[in-house]
Amino acid sequence: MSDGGGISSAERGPERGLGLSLRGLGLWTPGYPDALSWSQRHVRGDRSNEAAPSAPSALGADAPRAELLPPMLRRRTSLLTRMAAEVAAQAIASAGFDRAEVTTIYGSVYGEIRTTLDLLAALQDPAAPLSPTKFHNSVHNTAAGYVSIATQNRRGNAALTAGRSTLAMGLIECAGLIAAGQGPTVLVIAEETLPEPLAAGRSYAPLAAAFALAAAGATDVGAVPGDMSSRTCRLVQASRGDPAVPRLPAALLGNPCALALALCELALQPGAACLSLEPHLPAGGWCIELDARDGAKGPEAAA
Amino acid sequence: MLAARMRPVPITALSLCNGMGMTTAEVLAGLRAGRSGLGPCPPEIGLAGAATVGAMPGPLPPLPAEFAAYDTRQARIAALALAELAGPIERAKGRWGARRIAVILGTSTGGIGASELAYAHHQAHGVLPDWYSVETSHALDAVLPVVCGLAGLAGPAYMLSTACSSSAKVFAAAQRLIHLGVCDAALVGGVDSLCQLTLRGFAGLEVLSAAPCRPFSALRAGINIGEGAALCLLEREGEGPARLLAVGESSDAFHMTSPHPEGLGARLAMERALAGAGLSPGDVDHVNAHGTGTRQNDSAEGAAIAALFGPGMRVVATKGYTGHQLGAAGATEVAFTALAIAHGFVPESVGAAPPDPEIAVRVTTQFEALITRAAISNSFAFGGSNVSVLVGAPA
Repeated sequence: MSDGGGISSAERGPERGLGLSLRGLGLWTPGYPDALSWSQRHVRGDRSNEAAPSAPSALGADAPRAELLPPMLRRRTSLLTRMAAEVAAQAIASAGFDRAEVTTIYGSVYGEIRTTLDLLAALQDPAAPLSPTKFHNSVHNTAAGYVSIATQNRRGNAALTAGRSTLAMGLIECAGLIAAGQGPTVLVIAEETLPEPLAAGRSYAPLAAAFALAAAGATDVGAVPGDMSSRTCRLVQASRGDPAVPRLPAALLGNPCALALALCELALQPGAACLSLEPHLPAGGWCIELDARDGAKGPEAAA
Repeated sequence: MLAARMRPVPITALSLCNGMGMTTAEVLAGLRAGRSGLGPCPPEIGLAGAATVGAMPGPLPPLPAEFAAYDTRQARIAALALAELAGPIERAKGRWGARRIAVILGTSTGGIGASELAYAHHQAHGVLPDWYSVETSHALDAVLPVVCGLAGLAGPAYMLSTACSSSAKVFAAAQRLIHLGVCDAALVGGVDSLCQLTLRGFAGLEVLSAAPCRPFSALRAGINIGEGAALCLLEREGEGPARLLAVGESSDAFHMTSPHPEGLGARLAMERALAGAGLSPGDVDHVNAHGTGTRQNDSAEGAAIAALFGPGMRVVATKGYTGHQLGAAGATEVAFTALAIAHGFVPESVGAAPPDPEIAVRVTTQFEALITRAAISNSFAFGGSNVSVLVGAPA
């Protein structure tokens, strides 16, 4: 399988932006089990301000399905891993990628913070042994490991963080992989709520989003799905237009990865758009420009 | 799918600090002399007497006042390694511009040691200590503002955290970003700091050795944890001790903590590194093994190396010098490999004698003068994450 041999080159440089093709999406946040339900929230009313429990058990039927993971494992993993597995599966399916051959990059700021807090509490008793399962489930690449095992995927993967620039740097990492011929890739962004006492009063809802990415112009990476035709997009350091200011529900605003939902929102709308990926930086930082939906006049857009 | 062949990237400068020494010169001297940096656990870690570790051998200078909010053991170790590279980084900034130099670092612990202190303080007093914030003390990326700020670098900056392969992955990411054209140079590396969580976590997995670790030895009894930092400056063009040729990455897709018994994922990573550089197994002169010192890990890796390179391949394991530095191990061992190439030697695998007869590779049990054309440095991790970094002699 070829993905078109890369999206840019050292000789050309990134002046015109790093081109990518967005092929599919995944999304989960309490009250919104997928991208479609999220895109309809302005019509159906916002549910995300409702109390958002953080443990999968407390979410009950609203917990992420995470059907990618074996049932026994699903019950034992954190909300973070379940969210990540759920949105990865959605993005892979909507893009028509082969789940055993996709390269997946996971972005999260605090990672498996709730499992880490359990371990911090256990350390207070000098005689208590640490749970080996909790220990290996506290690493930043926990979801990466479980998903690779569940999908029998032997490609490399990675887990990264760049604080509030995590989405921007995750997209750059994916652009690098695609340029190196290691695409198609899926970028998974997932962030749990921060537990007390570490949160020190910070409170926000958990969220996860995934972006299925391939080389711009590539044609043979998978079938174009019914719910979202491919979008050509570019990572640029200085936008030509005014970046969009996403309208996010208040419960999500404090989440350091909230921009991932804003990008989903723009990708679900057919028109051209631009989003600032690093609005916290004084100089503005990286932006993503989305062209109008490739099939905007086609049957998918009407559906 | 065929991966693109990317150009080799010169390693133009490197810096190390760990249990062997506070400076690159001290670490190199220890490596040449077969002098281990392992010793008793320092009292502030809380496991004094119970473990052998590779702890930083001297006091860590505090960060400058403007970085006070970030001042953790983790950040201090990173700043110590960074200070040595001030000259090369200034030169690179003059050549490429600060915005064209990426910073990609690996860690597994981040500032978890700070969170241990803060949590205990909260238990005792009902509030977090004044100096603690989860964003600047705990977060894996809290070291980025310190490194970027001290070095004056403004390119793309992120942390990779894939447990014990974290700071080997950074070499792959940097080579790709230079190929992509988003930067002309990258400061890459890794940093990890000793804390209770990792020591007691590995104790819980029953793989911690109370005595100095002995990777690949018949007398091995498990791993030791270490701390430290390693940084490498990679530039699109330039002169330096060695070159990054290619990186191979794979997943075992087998188990969260146990390697595939025949080292399938390890072999895949090494094969992908060779393919990425257009080299064959006969072009490689030695392998710096992941070599943690557990029977399971050593045997899977030994099998993979023997299957790919044949039983005569020279293998060095360096965790008997530093302990397992987890998120800093990958970059440390790439730097060891670069130093071995630059100085024409292969270090003794300290503690490996007598070698385990069931492992069919040639483990170096003494210092050897050797001209190395190319060498592979392996790093494997929880989640079945495997990385093989192929390092070559200067062009």
